[in-house]
Amino acid sequence: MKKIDGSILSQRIFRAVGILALLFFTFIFFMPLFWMVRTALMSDALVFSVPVRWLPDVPMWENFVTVFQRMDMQKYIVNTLITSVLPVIGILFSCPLVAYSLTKIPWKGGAIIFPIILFTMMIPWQVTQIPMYSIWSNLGLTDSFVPLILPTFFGSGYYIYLCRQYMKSLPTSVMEAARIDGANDIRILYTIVYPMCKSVLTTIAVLVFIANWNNLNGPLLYLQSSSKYTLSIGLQQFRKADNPEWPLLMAASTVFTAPLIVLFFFAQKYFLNGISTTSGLK
Amino acid sequence: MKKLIALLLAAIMVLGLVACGPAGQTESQPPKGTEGSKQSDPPKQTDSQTEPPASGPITVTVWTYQAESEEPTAEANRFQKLVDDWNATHEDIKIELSNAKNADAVVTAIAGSNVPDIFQANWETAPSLAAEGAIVELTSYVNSDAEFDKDDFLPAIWNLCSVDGKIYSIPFTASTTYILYNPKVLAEHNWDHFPTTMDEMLQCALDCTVLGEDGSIQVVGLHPTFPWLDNVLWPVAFGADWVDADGNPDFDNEGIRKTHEFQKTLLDALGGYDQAKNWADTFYTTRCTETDPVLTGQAAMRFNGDSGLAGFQESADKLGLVYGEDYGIAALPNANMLTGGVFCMNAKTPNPDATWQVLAYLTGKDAMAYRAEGGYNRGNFMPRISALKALEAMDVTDAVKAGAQLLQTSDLRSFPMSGYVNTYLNAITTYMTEYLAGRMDLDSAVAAVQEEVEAAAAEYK
Amino acid sequence: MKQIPAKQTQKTKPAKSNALRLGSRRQRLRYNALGILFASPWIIGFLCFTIVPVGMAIYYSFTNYNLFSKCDWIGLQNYIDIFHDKYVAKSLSNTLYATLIGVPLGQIMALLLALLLNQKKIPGIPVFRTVFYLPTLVPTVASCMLFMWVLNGQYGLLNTFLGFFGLKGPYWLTDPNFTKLSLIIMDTWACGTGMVIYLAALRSVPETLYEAAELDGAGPVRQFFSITLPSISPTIQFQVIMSIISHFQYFTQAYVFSSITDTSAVAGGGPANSMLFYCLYLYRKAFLQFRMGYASAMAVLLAIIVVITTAVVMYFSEKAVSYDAE
Repeated sequence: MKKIDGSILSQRIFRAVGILALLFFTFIFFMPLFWMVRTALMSDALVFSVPVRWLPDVPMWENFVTVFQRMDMQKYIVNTLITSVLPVIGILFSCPLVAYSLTKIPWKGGAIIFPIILFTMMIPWQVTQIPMYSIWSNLGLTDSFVPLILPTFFGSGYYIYLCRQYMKSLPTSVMEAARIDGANDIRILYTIVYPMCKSVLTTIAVLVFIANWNNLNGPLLYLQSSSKYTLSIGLQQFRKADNPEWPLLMAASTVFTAPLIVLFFFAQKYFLNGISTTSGLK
Repeated sequence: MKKLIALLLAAIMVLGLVACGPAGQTESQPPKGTEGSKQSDPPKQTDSQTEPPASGPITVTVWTYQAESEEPTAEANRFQKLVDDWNATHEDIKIELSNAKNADAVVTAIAGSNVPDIFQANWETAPSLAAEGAIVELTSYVNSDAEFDKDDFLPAIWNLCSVDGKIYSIPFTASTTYILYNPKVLAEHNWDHFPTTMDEMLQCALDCTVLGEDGSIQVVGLHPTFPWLDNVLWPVAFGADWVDADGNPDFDNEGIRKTHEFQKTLLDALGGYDQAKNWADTFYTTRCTETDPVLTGQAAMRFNGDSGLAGFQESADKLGLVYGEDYGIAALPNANMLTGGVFCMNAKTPNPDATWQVLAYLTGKDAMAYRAEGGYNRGNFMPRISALKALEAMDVTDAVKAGAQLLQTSDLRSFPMSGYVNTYLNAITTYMTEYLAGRMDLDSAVAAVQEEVEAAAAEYK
Repeated sequence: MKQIPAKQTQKTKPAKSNALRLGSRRQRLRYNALGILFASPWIIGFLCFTIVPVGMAIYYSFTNYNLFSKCDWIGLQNYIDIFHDKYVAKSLSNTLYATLIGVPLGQIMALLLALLLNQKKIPGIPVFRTVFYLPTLVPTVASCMLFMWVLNGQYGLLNTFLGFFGLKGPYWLTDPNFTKLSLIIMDTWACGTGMVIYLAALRSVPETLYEAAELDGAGPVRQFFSITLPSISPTIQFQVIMSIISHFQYFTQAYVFSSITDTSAVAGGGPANSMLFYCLYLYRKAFLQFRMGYASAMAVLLAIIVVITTAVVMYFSEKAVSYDAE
């Protein structure tokens, strides 16, 4: 009896601490967004006054209007969607495929390939960027979206590793059973494994989308025509070296970030709502 | 396993031969400051309407760092208009312009391909590019192109664009630094005129600095590193030099020492480096806005690049302040520093003559006069005298007009150009910051810079 | 280095070995072909896009390649010069400092947040999760700017907060002893990606295990150590190794940070070079001084260090990680 009472109390304390911690961290983590929006609504002069002003006296909504006037939003959004959505398809196609080969196909090749995959991630971009550009230039594919999208269809070390960790934990017995039933591995992959990996795959989709949405270096290097430029490139106009227009920069950043916040908020349902794929299996 | 290693090694060797291919192609003669291998006859004059050559028009690619914007007066759009005008009237040469690039993208592109033909570079990087053979020497082009009119440029700007007398880049903006000051604050401390020598400036700054009872900064006389540590400004103001008569690095000299002692004295008067730097970081973003420390009386004097002049005057107007009474703009007592943005020509360009025509057009008299109007009609400073005169005649603020005039009349000096400019500037920043912060004494700091720069210079002999 | 953990082989061995024995050679060939087929995207990508740049980088490390005009073989000269380069030593020590402190701190924070967000029956939990992920979504420039304020020596939030406890906070951005900590604080804040990955892993742990444990009378702490940790251990391994690799290549945040706080230097190392990280110095050598041969040698050296570190971590962790497949 006592034991159970004690454990209920400790559970309650735990829960209270948990909620308090949640609120504490929420305050801290909400700060950058708050700061960004607050700066976006301030007038140029008062952004950095001392002592710090937490809220603008008169919110300058016209800053957002100016941002839309100074940026060709339609062009940027279309181009950024191209460079963000297609890589998701590429990664979702290639990485589970390769990870499956590394984990669920009983051959020795995985033991060789996996270390090489890890190794390729250890060479810093500073020394591979120029030869890489040279390859694309010789193929005549600069000033196109191809260098930004095509490589994703061939896998990315980071996401292959992530899938591998996940797939290793999946029960092989299910696949074995299917094999004995005569299904080939491609069918096994797509009809059995993919659904089991739904949560990690959705996580990957969101991460890839967000990473590409924010990416500046790739588009800046490989795109030459203004008609192909993405949002991250368009954002640079507010960062003039001598006198950056902070309120406009923050307003543009807010517009830039808002779709991501919305995406993340709604996508959570799919990858964080307890899809217990490995539980309750016969 | 062994087989795999052997295979990989073989692959690497093959790659090696392939790898040095592109570099090898351009290495016809080492163009390290000697006569460029790309020198050719002076470019022919072209008419405005031209015929396309039999094989189709030559494409010249141009990359700038100018940010994209829908604002019609943005530099990027002005360059685009210049390019569109050219393309409409020329059939033999077509220009393709790409804006919003940065230095890394440019280096990657010119190392990995032969695009772009013309690119924007930072003035301190162009000499290094020249030393490594990345860009074409332009001296003969500049000298023989009468329409280009070399003498229309500010004479001092050619120092910025040449190494050992050989021109490697063409400037498309010019910039110097001014002192913004508050006459009322100066008057409060018994200064009825702006300092006329550097010694006076030091005294004025010390007089105007006010610390509170707790040692915190109330009024700044002159903050030597606000908005940033400037390695060129103060030595130029003191008439110091970084190289000796033969062009060898000479950092350990009296002028340089005096320059840095000047800065340290001012920082100590502000309560020490840490407190002064903190003040600078705090007020960094208020520059040229209505809360600019000079306009609010929190600073007596401060330096600023000329591109901030228009914004500074606008903010002052909004506050109802009067030019001359509540705020003033002055050049430094002695010489003034000169920097600028430049264009360079890729050494791998397949058609140097055509590329030169485009480059001369983009930096020509008409182009610069057009661009002088600047963003938001505020005024841009150009390296051409004709453009500066055009700017003075435009409907711009007094501050901008004064800026344009001062550029033409001041004694302008720039950092000496060599292949190791970047390293020199880096070393100065690193060690002199340590001195100013009190972590190193002057002798060690200066010696450290000298040592590092001499080692770098030796590589370029 | 067999990847198949002990547990799995025990359970499936009988079936497998039967299948193998029957048409073993044919089965093996078939599985080899299948393995290559499924891994083919990566193999093709590797051969087309990866092997050439990586191979070239290794080759250049033995040359004096300057990107434009020189590419002569100089053997090990670059490596010898690296050994004598005091900036390499300084940058390596800065990077090790950042890695040794940043990796554990970052992972603990990410896991902690994931656990907080995994609590049951809290209304509006999707909102909380979104808020915790925000720092990662906000552009780097915006968060650097914000941190310049938070870490301001006199007016900043952090020092004001410490002031409540009677502590005088340091000049976070100008004191060489604290600049790296400033960066680490900023990074720990942006641990959203790790948090999301941990959260996904946490939610994949079967409820049944927790229910059984509770019936046995295990408290939350005990449950954490005997159920949660082992179940998400593959993810922990992934996160730790990825974090180590990315910390050794630390560049972007330092570059943006120094360009905002010290506008006089491009790729500057900060006060007393306290923020000169290995890849920042490498970048300087490659893109500003055009010593690509030297930079490539630095890259190879870094790769070797990271390989060794990763191999050690993998060796010890593969034993501890339980791939829970029946």
